[in-house]
Amino acid sequence: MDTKLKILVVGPIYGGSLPTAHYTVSALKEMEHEVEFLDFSTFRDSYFKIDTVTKDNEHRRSLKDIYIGFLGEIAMAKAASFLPELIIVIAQAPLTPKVIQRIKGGGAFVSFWFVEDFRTLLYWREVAPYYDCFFTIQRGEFFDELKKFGVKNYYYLPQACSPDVHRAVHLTEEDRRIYSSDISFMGAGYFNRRIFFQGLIDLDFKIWGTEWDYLSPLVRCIQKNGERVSPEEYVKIFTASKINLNLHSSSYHEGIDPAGDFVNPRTFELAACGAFQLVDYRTELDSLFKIGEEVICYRDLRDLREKIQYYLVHQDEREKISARAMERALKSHTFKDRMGEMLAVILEKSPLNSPLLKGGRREIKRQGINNVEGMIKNAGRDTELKNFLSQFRGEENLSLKSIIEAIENGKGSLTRTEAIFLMMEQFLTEK
Amino acid sequence: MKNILILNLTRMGDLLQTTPLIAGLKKKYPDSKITLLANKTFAGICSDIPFIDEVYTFDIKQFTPESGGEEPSLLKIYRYLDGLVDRVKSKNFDTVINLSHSKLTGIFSSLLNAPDIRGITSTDYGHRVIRHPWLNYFCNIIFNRHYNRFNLADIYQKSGDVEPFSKKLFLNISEGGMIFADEFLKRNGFKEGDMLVGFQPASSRPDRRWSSDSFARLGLELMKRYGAKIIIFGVPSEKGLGDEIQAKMNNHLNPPFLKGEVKGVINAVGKTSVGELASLLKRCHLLITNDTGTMHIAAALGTRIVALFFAHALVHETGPYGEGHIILQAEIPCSPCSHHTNCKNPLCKDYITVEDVITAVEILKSQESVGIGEISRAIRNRGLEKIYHGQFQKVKPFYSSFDSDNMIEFLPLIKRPVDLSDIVGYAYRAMWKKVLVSNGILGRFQPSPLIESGVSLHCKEIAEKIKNHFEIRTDTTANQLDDVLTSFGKLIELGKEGISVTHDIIKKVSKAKFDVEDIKELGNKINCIDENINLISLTEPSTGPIVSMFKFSKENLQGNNILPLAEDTLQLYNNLTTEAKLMKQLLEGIQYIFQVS
Repeated sequence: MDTKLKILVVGPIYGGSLPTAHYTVSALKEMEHEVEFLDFSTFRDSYFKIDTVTKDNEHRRSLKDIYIGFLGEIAMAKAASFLPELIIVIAQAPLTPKVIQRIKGGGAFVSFWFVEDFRTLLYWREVAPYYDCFFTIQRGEFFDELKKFGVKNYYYLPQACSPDVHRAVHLTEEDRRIYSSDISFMGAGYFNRRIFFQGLIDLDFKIWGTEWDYLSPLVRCIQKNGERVSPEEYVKIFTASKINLNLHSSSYHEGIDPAGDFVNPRTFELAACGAFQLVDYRTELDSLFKIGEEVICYRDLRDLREKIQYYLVHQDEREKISARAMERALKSHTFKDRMGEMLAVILEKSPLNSPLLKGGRREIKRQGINNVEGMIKNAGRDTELKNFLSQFRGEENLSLKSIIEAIENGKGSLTRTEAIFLMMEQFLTEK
Repeated sequence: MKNILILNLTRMGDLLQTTPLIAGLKKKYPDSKITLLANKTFAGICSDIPFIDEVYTFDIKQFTPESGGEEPSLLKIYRYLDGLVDRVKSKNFDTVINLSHSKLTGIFSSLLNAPDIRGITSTDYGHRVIRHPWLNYFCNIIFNRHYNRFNLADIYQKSGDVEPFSKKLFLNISEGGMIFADEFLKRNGFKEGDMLVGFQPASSRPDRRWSSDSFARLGLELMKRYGAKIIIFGVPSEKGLGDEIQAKMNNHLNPPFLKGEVKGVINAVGKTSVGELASLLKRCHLLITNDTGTMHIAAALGTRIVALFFAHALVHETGPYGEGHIILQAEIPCSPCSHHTNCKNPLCKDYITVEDVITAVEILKSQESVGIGEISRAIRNRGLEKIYHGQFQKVKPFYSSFDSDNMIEFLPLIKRPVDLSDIVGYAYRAMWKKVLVSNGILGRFQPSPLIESGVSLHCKEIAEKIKNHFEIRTDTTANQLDDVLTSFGKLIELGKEGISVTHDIIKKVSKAKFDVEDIKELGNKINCIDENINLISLTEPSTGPIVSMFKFSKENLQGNNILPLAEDTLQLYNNLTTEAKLMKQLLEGIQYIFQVS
């Protein structure tokens, strides 16, 4: 593409789409566009600091709304100074419909890349109609839904790899000692992974990444105390493992989503590293890789265990398959390929020009709750209850959570009062 | 006189599934007083359940704030719970049967100080324990649903040490109710001789509802084929859904320019009390329903049912309790959904097509003179399977039947390829029936040569059942069975190790003086054995039910005194070993019969 554009990329505060934002920026720069990255992850700590300010959920929510509004102002200020022709907003970026409209009022063409599952994260319904172009990693049913919500310009743009980062690396002896295993998994401990991977704990299996459950039998497989793993480190894991597992996340399946459609970034990253992977089947997978030649799929635990046994002893096949996968990924599935496709669509859609405005404010809501002194006063003749409540003196509003924490930290057998509060916790949960 | 409290805070359907237990207890102890503690939202039906002497209600909803309103007062809730505990406790129950899974009911039951508490209860320190082998099973099978072949109603009966006898649920209909039904139907144009088909399109959760579109198309097809009259049921909050189905049927039959209304659709949503609903269901020839309380009412009244099961619903657990119903279970690999999850893509409800339901209705209609087991046999013998197979493409159709122990089972209506969970599931059914015997808090099984010799008989029965209802794929099934057998073998070995180490502990601690370090070392060995037992169940999930029972039972062990703890532990290893042995024998026997035939 010959046209060189001024592009502002807006990233998320945190989350799985953050790497996508970084790789998007790198790819655009490599394509010699004038790119600036508004990296909201630098505001992450302050965003989470809000949780430490108050325990009141309503207050937290209000403060976060204000903060998001403030980040929206930053986005507008950035756009006003940089004067981009195109703004690419990456999934989970904190832009509200109001901010999107005002940015658009400045004249830039604003597109969004929704690299999430439309069934799980529903915020797309609120924002999608406001973008000039909406890119997705799913199609079919999602396109029908987008149409229903009045979105006109939507395009399928799957995830990709970034060959600068995702590449085969040389391993030292020390690296091999740390990272080698028969099978490995690199990723977060989602519900389905926590359950499904328990079926592999008799194998030489290393699990890397965050959010794993330490009370689960998988604890023996978790590496590095479940700490975050950097991209530099995880390509070493990919290279050092005989078999890399890939299981698309789900919060409501015990293993594989039988109707899963989109393909996750890991599939492309593993392929680009020349690493051998076993991946759960996805309906979009065979439009991106040749199943059986470039990637091998499994359909359930029994099938996976059989394939693990087979490929562990067939190194030559592993190598051939992963070499083919690497060739495919580097040829067709890089972020540069994706950005090329995205810009081609956008240029066809719009004349690109600029400036911007600013604005945006929110309100705080307040609500009263259980007052400790009032409760003690009203406990009446129930001295056991009174005594129990008096330990919370000093707290203005008493929450059931504080009560339960106090009971859990207590010692000895439960009093009747404590038992009733425990019952109440369940009672309110079940309501 | 026995004074029994049954605690069931779940939904209306679960209450109805409790009725064979209540009837069984009354039969066993005619002088007993039976009290039910139920959730207030679903307590309306209790007055029509026979054999209940008193009902207490648990009002969870009263503290739900109106939208935007104040949070509930903790003190107010506290007083309510405190008062309820006092009132129930004052009745001095000698037996409390807790049929709920929740921690809430566990704490509640423990506060009643009854001598015999069954189900989830709580120790003085707030730890959960489960008492009674069948309720231990009830709580652990949630984690191994693929292998459960017992219906809730049968599990409930067993938890009261009642031998199933009724083959039905119990519900009374008043004379007033029947008069209401006659008048209601007459007012809505129903004539004697009309075929009346009930629809229950709603359910407790949206992802457990067949689509309104499908119900509307089904209604039209039933009217076209049989001249049926359709009556749509539901509570007031489901009115929108009833209207939607009716409107869809209207639009289809009467294009808007005709401005007509479909004759023969009665929209009764929100217009009936529970008693009135029951009397109308009694008049229906057939009910088409999701897995709902209405389905269980119809089952209690003997109305034929075509039930649509998908999402969390699993036929073996909550299928309609009665002979000759048809249940269509969506066939999707992730079925059933895990409890406590919300599927974002509930495709399975579209797996059941209008044509599938029509086929089921055809089968039920042709069954009026013959038993449904006969129909299933006739389908097989007359080679009609291929025709039906073509129709049930993404559905497993089942029919309900009772075995020789009067326990319900759901058998495939047409032959389909057997999978491992079917074989293992049937073997488990036979095994648990033998070993889940109430003989104390922990006790499930006393090994005896009599039971072990009974195994070969069961092999034949199970193999026969599988051969009659499934297509056998000897190659894949045999390979998979080999893996399963190896795992049960490993469990037996670990169980024996557990027995040997606990024997050592008992021997040592029985002496006047013993070395604590010795015992600690043996304790470590036990931990190691338990870890390996758990590992087997994770890598070969078909062993899960036994291991899960073992783990739950171990959690139930109480006290600080080493000797009784070791003796109880020994019994648990004995149970584990014997259960694994029985499963291995059963499965080897079945495999042998398949190979020979």
